[in-house]
Amino acid sequence: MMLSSGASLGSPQKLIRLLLVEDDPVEAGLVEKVLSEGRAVDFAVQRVPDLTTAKMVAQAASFDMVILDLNLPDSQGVETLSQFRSVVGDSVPIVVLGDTDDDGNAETALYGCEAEFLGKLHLDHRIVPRLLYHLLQRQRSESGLRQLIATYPDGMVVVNVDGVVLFANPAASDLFGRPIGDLINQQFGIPVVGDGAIEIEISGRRIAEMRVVKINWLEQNAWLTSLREITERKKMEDELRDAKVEAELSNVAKTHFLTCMSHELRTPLNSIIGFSEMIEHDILPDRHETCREYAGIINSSGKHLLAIVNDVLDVAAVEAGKVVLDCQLLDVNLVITSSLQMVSRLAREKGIELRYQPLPYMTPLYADYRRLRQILINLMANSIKYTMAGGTVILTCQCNHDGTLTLTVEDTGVGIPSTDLSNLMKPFSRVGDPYTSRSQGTGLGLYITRVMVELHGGSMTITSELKRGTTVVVSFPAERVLPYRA
Amino acid sequence: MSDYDTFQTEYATYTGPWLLRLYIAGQSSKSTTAMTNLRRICEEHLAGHFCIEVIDLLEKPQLAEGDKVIAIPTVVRKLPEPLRKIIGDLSDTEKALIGLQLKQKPTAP
Repeated sequence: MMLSSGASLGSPQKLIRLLLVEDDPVEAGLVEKVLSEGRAVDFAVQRVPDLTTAKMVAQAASFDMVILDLNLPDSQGVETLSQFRSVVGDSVPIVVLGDTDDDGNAETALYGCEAEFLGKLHLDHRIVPRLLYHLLQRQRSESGLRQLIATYPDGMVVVNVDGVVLFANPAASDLFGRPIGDLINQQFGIPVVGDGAIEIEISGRRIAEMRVVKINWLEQNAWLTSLREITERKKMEDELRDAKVEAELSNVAKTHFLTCMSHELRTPLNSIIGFSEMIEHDILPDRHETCREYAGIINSSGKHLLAIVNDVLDVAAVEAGKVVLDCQLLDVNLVITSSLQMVSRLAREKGIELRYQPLPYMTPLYADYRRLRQILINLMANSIKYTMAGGTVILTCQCNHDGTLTLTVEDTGVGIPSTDLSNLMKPFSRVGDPYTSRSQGTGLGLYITRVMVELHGGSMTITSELKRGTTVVVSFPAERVLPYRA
Repeated sequence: MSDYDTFQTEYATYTGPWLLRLYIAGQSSKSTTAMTNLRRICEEHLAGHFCIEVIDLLEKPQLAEGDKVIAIPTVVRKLPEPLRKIIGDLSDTEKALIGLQLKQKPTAP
């Protein structure tokens, strides 16, 4: 090892650690002498006589650069270079020391091997140390740039004027999901971006923001396209927008609900308060008879209020996902008969004919008794509510070939405008304006009914024709039905 | 004039039909913008002799392979040859025209 004390070039690298692979002691001595005579750079030279030792030493310690004789006792020619390169990697510059008389051959052989050539006859102490120093600096700045581009988080694609890819960095390769080699020479397309950036979508549903600048790439006009992935940002933006819409909708629904509710709750409460006050103040003409009548009104108003409160509680439970079915095998005919009893008075009072077509045989359905009754009563009460006197409400029950069971409630009522049909099964929706509509109701009934049907794994469909009537079909899945087998 | 001028080749002599294929993905706002822009550009500059084929890769993803489309929206000029590709929503008309190598309208004196 030898050191020379020359003036440094003022770089951060004061001392260049150099590995000299040379079997001829005379030539090695010459190189060492030249390096030591240079005034600009200091070299710490370690000399080894063959490739095997060189590999070992290079693995054990790190060097800034290597001077390599291709013809060594244990390896000859370009093979020496490629073997040694595989040990030190790409980052260390290698200078091949060659015989000047076969300069041409050696230089040709080195083409594309990422190594510099130094003729043995050109060893001049005024040139070689500076040459090596600049080679090292160039290597450093190149590998710095290469690293910058390789680790840059945005995709960089250089395309020529015909849209063919000339260069792509690893981020671009990652974005397109293919190796860099597959991107080069492909028709990427001519990037057309106005001022600023545009969004493009890359196969695999990734979204990138594309910016383009015109550059000169290896002597030709080209575009440098930068691609910043914004998939996550877009997803977040979409989610935020959806959440905002949902929040606005739910706010509208809330306001609507409060409007409906205050109206619905006040009506029966007014009756209860009004009639009970009259009893309290004892201003009744025929005390006994009127008292009974008023008590009846108070009672039915109270029941009505209870029904509303029950609906609201049901919806709250549904919204909170707290409704649990208590299922058992039920005789459908029996459930229907008991539900009919609940609504038959209502129909009679309104002058509506209520018809029921029972199943010809007992059909067990695995369902929640209370909820099934609720479904039936809701649907029939609804039909009765929207049917004028003299109309008909028909309940049909049918076992189908595919094993499903359908309950159909058909009326000859006012019908539902097609524009309202889609909203009908949503909460708080009611046909018409709650203030002008003559019918009472919270608009929760059909929503609750639908949810109850769906909890049973079934489905509910509504078809309607204005002024002709409405048909609601509830269907239960085959696995809940035990069909009659003769 | 713009930087793109250096790349411009004029297709003044070509009088045959222009066949353009627009690749999009679903009916997103990007897709619709690209479609509207392409149609407008064609109607203004190629009135009567153009044909736009819109390919929705959400419906037919396998078609991306044919023209080797790797990003959308992409316009592929099938005719006149040679094939040419443009990536972008074409909102910059001037650059789109030059990208498509459509002869520019002479600017008003």
